[in-house]
Amino acid sequence: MGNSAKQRVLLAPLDPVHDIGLKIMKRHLEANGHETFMLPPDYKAEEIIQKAIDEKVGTILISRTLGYGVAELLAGFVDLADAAGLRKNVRIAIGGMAIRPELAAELGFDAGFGPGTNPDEVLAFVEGREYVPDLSKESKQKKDISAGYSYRYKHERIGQLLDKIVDFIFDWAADKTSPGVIRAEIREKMLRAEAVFQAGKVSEHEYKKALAELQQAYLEHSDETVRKFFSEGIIPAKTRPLSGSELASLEEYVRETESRMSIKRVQHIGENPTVFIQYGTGCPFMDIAHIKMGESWGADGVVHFDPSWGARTEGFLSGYLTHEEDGSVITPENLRQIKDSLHSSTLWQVRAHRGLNTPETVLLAGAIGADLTKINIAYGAMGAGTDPARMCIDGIAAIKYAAKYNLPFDVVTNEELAGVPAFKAFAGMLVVARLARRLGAKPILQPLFCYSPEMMITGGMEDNYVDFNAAKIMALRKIIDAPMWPGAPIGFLTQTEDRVQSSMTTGLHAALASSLGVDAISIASSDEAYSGGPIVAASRVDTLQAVTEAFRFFGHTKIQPTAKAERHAGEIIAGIQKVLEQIVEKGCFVQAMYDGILGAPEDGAYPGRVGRGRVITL
Amino acid sequence: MRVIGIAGTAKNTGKTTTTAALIEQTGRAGKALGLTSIGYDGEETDNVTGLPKPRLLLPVGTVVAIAEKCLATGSAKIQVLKRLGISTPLGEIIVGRVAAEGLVVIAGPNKEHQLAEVLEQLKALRPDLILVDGALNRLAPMVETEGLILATGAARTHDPDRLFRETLDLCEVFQWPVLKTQLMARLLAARKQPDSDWAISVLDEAGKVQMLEGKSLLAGQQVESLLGLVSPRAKAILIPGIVSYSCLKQLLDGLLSQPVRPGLVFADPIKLVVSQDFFDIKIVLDRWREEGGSLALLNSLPLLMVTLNPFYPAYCDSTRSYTAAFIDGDMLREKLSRRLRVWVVDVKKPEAQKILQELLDFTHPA
Repeated sequence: MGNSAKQRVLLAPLDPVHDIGLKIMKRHLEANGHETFMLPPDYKAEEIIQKAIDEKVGTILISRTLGYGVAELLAGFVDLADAAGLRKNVRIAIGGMAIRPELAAELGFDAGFGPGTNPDEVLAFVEGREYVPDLSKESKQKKDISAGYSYRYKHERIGQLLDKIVDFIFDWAADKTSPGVIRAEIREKMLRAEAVFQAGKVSEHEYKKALAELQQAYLEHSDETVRKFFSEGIIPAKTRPLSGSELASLEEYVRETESRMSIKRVQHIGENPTVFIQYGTGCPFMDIAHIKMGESWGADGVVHFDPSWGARTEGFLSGYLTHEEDGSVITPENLRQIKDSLHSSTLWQVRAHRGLNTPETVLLAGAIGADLTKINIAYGAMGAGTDPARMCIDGIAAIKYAAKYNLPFDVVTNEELAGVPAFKAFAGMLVVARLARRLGAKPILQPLFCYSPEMMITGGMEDNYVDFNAAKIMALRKIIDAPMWPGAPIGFLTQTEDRVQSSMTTGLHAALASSLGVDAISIASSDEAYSGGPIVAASRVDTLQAVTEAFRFFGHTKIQPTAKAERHAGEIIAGIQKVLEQIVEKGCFVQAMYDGILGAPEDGAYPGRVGRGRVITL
Repeated sequence: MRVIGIAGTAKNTGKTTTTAALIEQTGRAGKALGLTSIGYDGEETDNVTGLPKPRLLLPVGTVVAIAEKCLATGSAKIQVLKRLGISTPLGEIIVGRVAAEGLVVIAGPNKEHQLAEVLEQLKALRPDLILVDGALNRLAPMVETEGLILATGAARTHDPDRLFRETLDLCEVFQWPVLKTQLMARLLAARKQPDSDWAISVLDEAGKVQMLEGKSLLAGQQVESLLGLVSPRAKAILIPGIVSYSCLKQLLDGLLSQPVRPGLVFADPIKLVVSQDFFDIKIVLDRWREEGGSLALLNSLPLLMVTLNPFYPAYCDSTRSYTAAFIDGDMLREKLSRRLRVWVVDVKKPEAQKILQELLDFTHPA
């Protein structure tokens, strides 16, 4: 029953101090044509009631902070109003920081307005109509962070060098494959067989027979661990299947949580970057709990972390598996479970940047419905321990799947953490990005936003964390028009075990990223670097809140780097060009990795050994 | 007597424990029960102190009037019979019947006229007894009940002497006489329309009634006007709403300076006890009586029982939490029993069951 006719409203701070909430409401009510009567603070209950009678108001809005004995005081006010016969015609609401609907009910008010109340809610109450929130403000849509970029090279020379290097890669790889590539091809056939069966085109018997044959072929290209899992049922250490009841309660948990959760937004202005959090507790149940927590505190996307042994093992296990250590096991079932638990607006990235299952990971991610993946041949080979030749062959296949399933992917440069200078890491990243474009994929550049180890040695970041990180973005912008997603996570090596400090530094790095106009960021939880086990859910809220506050604080304000940033950017560009020229001189990208051109032992980078000798020449 | 209210003098004085004991006793006596609340109760722990709170276990067949959001919160299955269109911060009030026993969170209508409507609906389902659970220290809607149980205890004050005096003061108002029928008839006749509200009125010996605008006495000017209507022949002054301490004191000082001693009439005991200055009000009213004045009510609200809870939450500095503490309840109960004309019970004591049965026998004679 709406009543937009002019209302008379008494505003009374039943409090020793004035309340800003009532002042906001006074303005809002008057702007909507209502008449208000504002009482000074600290009036007695009887005086407020007398005023309400004298002014013949229809609504009384009380504000009060809670404290000892205040519940009784407020209930006493309501009682007095009731006994005075006021409540037949006058509705009374309470507002304050500690107010919740349950408390308003207990105290006897007609409504209660807590923190975060939209003034329109109170207006609706005064006008006697139901409050219908403007959902268009709340609803979130997935954003394609790679959209709108031309990938045009602004630095012509670097563009030419990259094309030459990519030509070398295609020549080198033309007659090669690997067990990882072959398994992905078999997995493709398995997925196709499943689709054909589900469409009812073959019998269950035929399907199972075909699947068994494919499984046999798959195991021929897998490691002992995987073979033993399928043939003898031996599960790797610290891993176990989830029980039926665990899965049922997981589904119930998701259903119940979604029924009461709402989606928040971290961004304050449209230009603020998309925010990703990372999960990989090992336990799908805990992962999903972290995802739901992240979604309700504003995370736009989530990144799947798999265990490091998964990257060193040829082949995937199957089923719903939980793992007692870092990283959540990739199986089709685990990925589907997580996919089914995501809110429709949540971007989902499955990492595939390193290791022996890279092509199959991208294939599964694409087939199961991921939005993004992560691939970098140079990082996988120089920073993550996979043999450069093998990583290159598997990387090419992975990029082809990314193109096929339309999965944009970031090209991570975390080898910088080992001490590789940014310009070398960037050279590798730009090679992979060029390769991706030639294969029709959408790469996203991922410079690391960190306290760079190379700068720790030279003292280049002693004054501030702004210049060098800004220089990275400025340099890349001068080279190419491409999307950028600093990570991963931002603030690496600036965080400590102090949660306030970690949240603060995350928030500031996020503000810098936003000021530089990047498309996305990945953030850590406030305890991520020092958790010594699964991270605490509340620590996710810490950094999401810190980033929200940083975005709110800066709005459209820009952070102004010093002149040093421009100088660093010039050095980075020159460094990249030098590295690319060295590769061209070498005549082979893979050999360049072995020879330390993209990161040498003196930098802290060694060509990986996992999968060495397992490139198959056709 | 069908409708009994259970009101507390503060948080943690034992309303819910008393309600739970009565529910159990009603069950033992084989009587059908109806239940509602004027607030929100039934949480597992107190939302301020964090200490455990009793919850209400309702047997099959109990009829309830509760806010919609309570349905999902408890463990009992409740079949919704009717929606009442009364909104509360926890949703619309529904009337339902317990279909499978379980715990119930009770939040109901939180104002007087809504409670009246809800009680009509519950009565239509013909339970033998309807209980109205209180909330905090709230009392006002309880005027719609037919008898009151007052839950008090150490959570209000853990000074036993003060608790004793305050309890006597509160209970005494409920025992005031009801205005004589003949005088009531004169006041009734003076109202402009039969269904209009009472107004502040002065009745003189000749039966003439003079009225002021409004029913509550909250402003000094009103007192001046009221004193202006009081002649040496004034017989009674009716204040049907609430009264502030300062206005009452101004009125009585004015009256005491004259030889006139009209009877002071209030609508019901609740109108006085809801005042935050009730104990000061009581002092000036006692003095009024000592000086030869009299006091009466338009409507009585029988006080049936006082329950005394020796528990209070004590804040512990070393653990930074609340712990349970107790006063000597037995001694205080004995002292109160000697002075009050109603049962005084600690519902957690074994003998309480017998007393609650006596209460039910009194309110519901076979």
